[in-house]
Amino acid sequence: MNKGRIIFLMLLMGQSLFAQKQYQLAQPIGRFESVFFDKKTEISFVFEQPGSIIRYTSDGVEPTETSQRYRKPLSITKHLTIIKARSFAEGFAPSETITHQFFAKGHPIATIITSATNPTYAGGGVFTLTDRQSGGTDHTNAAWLGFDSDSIVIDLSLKKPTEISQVLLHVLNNQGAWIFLPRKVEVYQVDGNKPIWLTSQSFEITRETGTEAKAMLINFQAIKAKELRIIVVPLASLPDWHAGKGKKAWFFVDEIKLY
Amino acid sequence: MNRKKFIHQSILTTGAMAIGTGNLEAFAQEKIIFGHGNKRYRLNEQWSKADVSRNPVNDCHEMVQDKKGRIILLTNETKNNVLIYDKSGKLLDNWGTEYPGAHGLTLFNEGGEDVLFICDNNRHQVIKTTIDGRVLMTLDYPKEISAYTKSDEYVPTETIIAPNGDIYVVDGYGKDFVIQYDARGKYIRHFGGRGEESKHLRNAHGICIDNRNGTPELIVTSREQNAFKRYTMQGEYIGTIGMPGAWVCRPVIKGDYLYAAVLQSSSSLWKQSGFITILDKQNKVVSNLAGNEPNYTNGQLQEMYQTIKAFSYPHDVCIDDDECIYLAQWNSGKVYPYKLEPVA
Repeated sequence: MNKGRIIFLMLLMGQSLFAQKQYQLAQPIGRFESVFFDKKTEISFVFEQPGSIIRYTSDGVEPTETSQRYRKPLSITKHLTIIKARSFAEGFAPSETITHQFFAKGHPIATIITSATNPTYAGGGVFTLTDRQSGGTDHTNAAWLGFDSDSIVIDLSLKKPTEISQVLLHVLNNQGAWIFLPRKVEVYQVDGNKPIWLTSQSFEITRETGTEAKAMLINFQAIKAKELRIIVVPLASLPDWHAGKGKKAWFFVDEIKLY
Repeated sequence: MNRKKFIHQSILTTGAMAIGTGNLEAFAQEKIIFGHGNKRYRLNEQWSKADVSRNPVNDCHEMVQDKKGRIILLTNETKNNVLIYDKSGKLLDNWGTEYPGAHGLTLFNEGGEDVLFICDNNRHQVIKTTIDGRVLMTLDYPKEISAYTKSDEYVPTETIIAPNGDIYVVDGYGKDFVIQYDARGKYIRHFGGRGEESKHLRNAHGICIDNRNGTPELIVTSREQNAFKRYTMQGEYIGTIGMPGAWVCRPVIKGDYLYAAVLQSSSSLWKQSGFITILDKQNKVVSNLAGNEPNYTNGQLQEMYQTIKAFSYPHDVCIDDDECIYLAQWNSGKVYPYKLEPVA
């Protein structure tokens, strides 16, 4: 090996050491009233670390060094708007991306009836499913309804027949507390005597350590309906890696919307 | 290759080697200064010189400095529950194999002799030992309090000893009471506990005696409420020090300042979002190490949070006689403690 190549390699080693030893910034903090909004809402970010800046995107793409710099609160008017933000500063590795998605009003729901919640997690009752408030990541928050039955039936009615093509369930994933995303969701139209099947969607359960409130969007061919039935099937048996292996998973929901 | 060119390349190689073998690493680390105002520090992650194959750690829970200036660490690794270091990080001694739930470590100078109080979460006991590990006294769950029916309900996290020898135990993973005993372990009273009033506690993780303003008082952690609560030595509630966003561990007083490890930020739960916070004599936050610059708006402390991912889950700090900070971390890949040295 010639000397020139050795120098090059050593410089490379130096660089990789340098990269390893750079501390990473934490994520900026996003502040907003609720991820659910009527006509419009706003998100602001803070990150009080001298010399740092926040960059963001609103098109779903990961923010980079060249993305828009955050300076003032962002106005949100569109259903499903995704805001992604990261902190950057000289001498630090950029933070991980923080993502917030926002959901518009949807069709007014006249009534909701659900199967029985677990009495401990009855929250504020079914009204909390349409109050535009999320319970966040705390499952004891009264906005959350908690179920531990084999399947959960949710009957929804609208004031008048309305074109619908999407159901949104805002649910909790906190595997440490035995709360999982459902394994399956089915949607039926029940305007007549016989329920008409609209869609069934199954979900792969993956192992996650964090706690996250997230929206599940169930899409189907648009129909005109006045009454819908949603059947949620929680995970019947917790996976082998879980402390509650073989036992039933819980299902938590805090908001339901129709689009 | 001609001679001139060879010399030139040798010099370059030497220079590159210096960069490649650690100088640049040190340079990058030294560049980062943690904290704010006159409480700013450089971090040394390589402080501990212990050999991991011989003296491993699991969770590093609490640290104290003894009268000889030695730094004592309590870990729930039963190969060696107690590691004793000098200030340079050299391991001097170790003992302890019977503390599987080793959590709280408090040092008390009892008539000139250092003694230790260990809280063991798994054994549901507080154990008083000599500095070299001989057991002097064991406190079981407080049968005097009707709220307790069995030892499992009592999960003590921390103690503090008053100058008269009274022992205050916080049951931070149990029923959140502060339980006061005399020096011989006789129950005196209890206070705190769970509830909706200001005087109540949620996750009473730590306790200390604050002498900074003349009259001794107790400061107790209410970690899940992101607060410290102040009580008289007799357990009357005085007030709350709000620590918005910060899962504070035990308060540690050194000089005019109160230091605390912050396990994590409320804005980013269970994602290794910890930092260290420092309060002045008026209990105003003046510096956050790896956290945001303290911001008081209309006298109200705004939410605090981690800004630099230098720490995972800080669990305790120890401030030595040189004002250096030692940091013990929980659930952080079995890392040894870090040391932070003040920047002049």
